[in-house]
Amino acid sequence: MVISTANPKGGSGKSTSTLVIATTLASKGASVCIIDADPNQPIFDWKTNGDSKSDVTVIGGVKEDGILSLIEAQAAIHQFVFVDLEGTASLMVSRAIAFSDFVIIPVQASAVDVRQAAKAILQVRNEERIMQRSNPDGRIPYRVLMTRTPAPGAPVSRSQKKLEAQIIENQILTFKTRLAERQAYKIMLNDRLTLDELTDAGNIEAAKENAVDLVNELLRIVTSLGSKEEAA
Amino acid sequence: MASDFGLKLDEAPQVATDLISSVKPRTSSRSTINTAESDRVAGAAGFTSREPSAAVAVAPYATPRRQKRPPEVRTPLSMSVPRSVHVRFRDFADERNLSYPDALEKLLNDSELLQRLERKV
Repeated sequence: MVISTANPKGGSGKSTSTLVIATTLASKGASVCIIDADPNQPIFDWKTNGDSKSDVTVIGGVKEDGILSLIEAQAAIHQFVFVDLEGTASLMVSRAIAFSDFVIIPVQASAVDVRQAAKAILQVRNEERIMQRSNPDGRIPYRVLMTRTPAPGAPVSRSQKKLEAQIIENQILTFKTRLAERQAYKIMLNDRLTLDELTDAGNIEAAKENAVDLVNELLRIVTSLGSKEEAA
Repeated sequence: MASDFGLKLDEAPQVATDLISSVKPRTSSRSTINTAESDRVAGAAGFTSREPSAAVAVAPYATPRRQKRPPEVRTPLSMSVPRSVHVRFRDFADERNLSYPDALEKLLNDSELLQRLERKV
């Protein structure tokens, strides 16, 4: 299962979302690989310069020409391959989308994020159309993931409400679960640890619950997609 | 917000491990995708290569540039020579892409070098 995290806008929460989901899956015994295709290499740095005991395999230093063969090779040996893509509209991004089974498009409540997310959705649809020339049943499903949202119970900003209204109006597919703004998510990247390994990072339990909810929703989506394909 | 204070009564949600085990590594390749077509469509949508292409090292001038030499007072030299000598000298300069003054200097330098070698022998 190849899952890319894409939004041509930088700072939308791609690396954080990827790391939260991937390490949560790995902590439950899943075989997980992250291909860090972001030139800043935040997840490769997390793995190589940190002390985390997580079993997640992280591969960095990826080039446009090598990304497809790398995805293919890792997808053949891991249950989950996450591709953390760069925050630009590059060929690396479009090629990774073409080879993905599912695309997560993280979005913050800002006009720039939403415009760039629309670009990513358009590209997913373009790649899907190309795929369907050789495989009419081929699909590249996606979901928009709202990130850095207020924690449950906290006041919701006007821009957040406006974004949510626009998403509903445009029938954009989204995760029901949002990734809330949590200190723990920042600290896990800064201290290069997993949520389970954090000891002092705000409300860690709430951050873990949010991660589990998101992972379960992702699992429900991707496994139901698999059964539909098999039935087709 | 009871959970924020560690007072929640419900159990924490658990990852659906049964769903994890139903996901298997890929057994089929996606190499049938037309990547050239994919890149073309991506380019039209604003997705372009961000990697530097190999630099093409082509000099703007095909001929080598002459070295600049330190300034020295220059004196005209005009002479009448046999036509054959004129042709040989002109060909000598052309073959080496030298100006006539540079060609004359090279002949003198080579001649001096030859003399030194002959003395050593």
